[in-house]
Amino acid sequence: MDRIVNGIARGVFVFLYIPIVAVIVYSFNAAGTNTRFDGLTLQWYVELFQDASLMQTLRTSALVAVITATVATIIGIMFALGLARYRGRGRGALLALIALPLIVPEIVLGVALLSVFSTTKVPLGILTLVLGHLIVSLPLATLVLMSSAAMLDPSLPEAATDLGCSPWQTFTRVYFPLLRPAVVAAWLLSFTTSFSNIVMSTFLSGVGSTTLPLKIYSSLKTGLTPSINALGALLILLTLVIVLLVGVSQMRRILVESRG
Amino acid sequence: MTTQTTSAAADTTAPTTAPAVEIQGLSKEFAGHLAVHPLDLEIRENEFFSILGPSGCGKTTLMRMITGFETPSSGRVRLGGVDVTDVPTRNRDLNMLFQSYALFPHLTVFENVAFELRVRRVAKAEANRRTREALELVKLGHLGDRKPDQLSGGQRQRVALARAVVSGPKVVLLDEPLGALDQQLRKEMQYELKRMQREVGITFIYVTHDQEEALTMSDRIAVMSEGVVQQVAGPEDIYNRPETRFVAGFIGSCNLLDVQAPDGAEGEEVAVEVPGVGTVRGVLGETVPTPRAGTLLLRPERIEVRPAGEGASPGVVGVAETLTFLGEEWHLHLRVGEHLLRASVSSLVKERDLPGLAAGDRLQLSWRPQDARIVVR
Repeated sequence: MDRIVNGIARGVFVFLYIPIVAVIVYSFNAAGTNTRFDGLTLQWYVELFQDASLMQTLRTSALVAVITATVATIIGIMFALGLARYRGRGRGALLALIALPLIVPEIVLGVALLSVFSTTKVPLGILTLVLGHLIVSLPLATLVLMSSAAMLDPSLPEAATDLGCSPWQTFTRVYFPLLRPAVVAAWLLSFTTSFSNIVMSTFLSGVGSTTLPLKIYSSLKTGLTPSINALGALLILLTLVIVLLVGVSQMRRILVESRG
Repeated sequence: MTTQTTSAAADTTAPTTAPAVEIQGLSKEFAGHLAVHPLDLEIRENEFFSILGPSGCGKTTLMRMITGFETPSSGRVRLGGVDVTDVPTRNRDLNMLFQSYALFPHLTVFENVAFELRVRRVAKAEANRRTREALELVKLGHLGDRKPDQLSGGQRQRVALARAVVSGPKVVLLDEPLGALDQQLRKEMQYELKRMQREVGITFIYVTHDQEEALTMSDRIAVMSEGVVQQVAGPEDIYNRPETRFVAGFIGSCNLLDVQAPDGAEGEEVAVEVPGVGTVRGVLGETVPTPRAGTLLLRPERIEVRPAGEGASPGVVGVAETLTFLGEEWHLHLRVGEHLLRASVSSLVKERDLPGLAAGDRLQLSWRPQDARIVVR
């Protein structure tokens, strides 16, 4: 029995990591196609950095993701701290409202937002992308932060007040340091949600504000270039760097807490 | 406070003769229900003052109004003579020791204790010196680098106390601080708290439901029930001269007999009829203008128990129903008419005067009139 479980576990790992390994390997493939391997080259990396339009979409995606993650985290902190203390009427309804965008199909939200923006004549671009991505990442950020805030001793803010803290000092000296792992988790989660979003972006990106996932998706029609593999490899490397910077043990804690 | 807050009206120096805390007509209403009825209270300088009552009696709400966490529905709170009713908590010259201790888990013991001094921008050298002193006071000078989760419950409690006294506030409020500790540690901490209170010379307001804690540590006790302060007095007076039926029943063990109290002045010796027992003598615990329903309060240890028929003094005769040996004393349940009276007899007296006492024996009960108090509240 143990051997079977062991075997399945290994199989799952192989399945999970084969695509990642494949992307990295093919990003160095001298052949212009993924069907054979002709030796090593850095050609695709060079082409990637020379592909101005691809680099432009990368910049757009990064910018949108950073703004979205930051705004979602800030609003999430406010929600979490407010709701951690509030026990009155309407708490349940408020919680449901926050989580609702997670349940409503994204495509519905996307269409709805598009019609709102076109009626109000808001030009599509970075702003509309950020607003759209906020809708899907805010619930995630809020839930991560709320589970962490709910674990805090409710006497802590009172103790801080008693010891002379203004509300802002209570935040900077007590809440923020204690919520920091959750803040990092919420930010990273919002960032990746935004960075990899396709559905919302499809409706909300304007001319000149195409995001990276949209660009990759549309290039499927013309055929994938090996540069995409190089880009994938670089993104994997970036993720690895983040994990190492945050620290593996910290990362595990963040992920456990975010499921809290 | 010796710290350098600039904004607080509460920091204005007041004459030292003013009571540490003065409460006038303070009340709190929650959704139409009076959690604390309008009450007056004066807590003196350097006093160990306990607010004692069962859970839900309003003691926590009263304490939270003193700290400023709760806004009173009516009344004023003065701290050292200065009205602080509208002063926010952070500018009140008092600190609180929370039931959960509320230590900051991300800070070390030293940083926890130094917290207030740093927030109030006390010069670093001075802050460090005072933090070390506070840690010495609670005998934890060697654990400054630990985090709270590396400490035992008793140690955490000491850290919380050091943090509460480090800035030298006028008043420290303690919210059932011994609740989470085991029995042995509780006893130790009772004496420790009292010692530290004397050492730092700060007024302590101790909120508890544990009568033993209140009796051992306090200079004075306010007994609360259902939002009303029943009696404020020293431990001995609270125990020996309870003013209400509730106080007598809540503090220690007491026989409570329904009687018709005759009119008379406080302290007057009167004869009252106890239904099913007969006429007994007692003293009025308060002035009664006209006869009314009251309670005769009689502590078990104040009842003298002798074999029936011995001596000439007439008294109440009862039948022993149960005898319980508790080491230093015996507890007896005595059937007198429809009543079951509790009496306690020291082991010495039992051996000397009542050898061979068994259930079913008839006993003669007597007490000094002044030990049987009659109250009408």
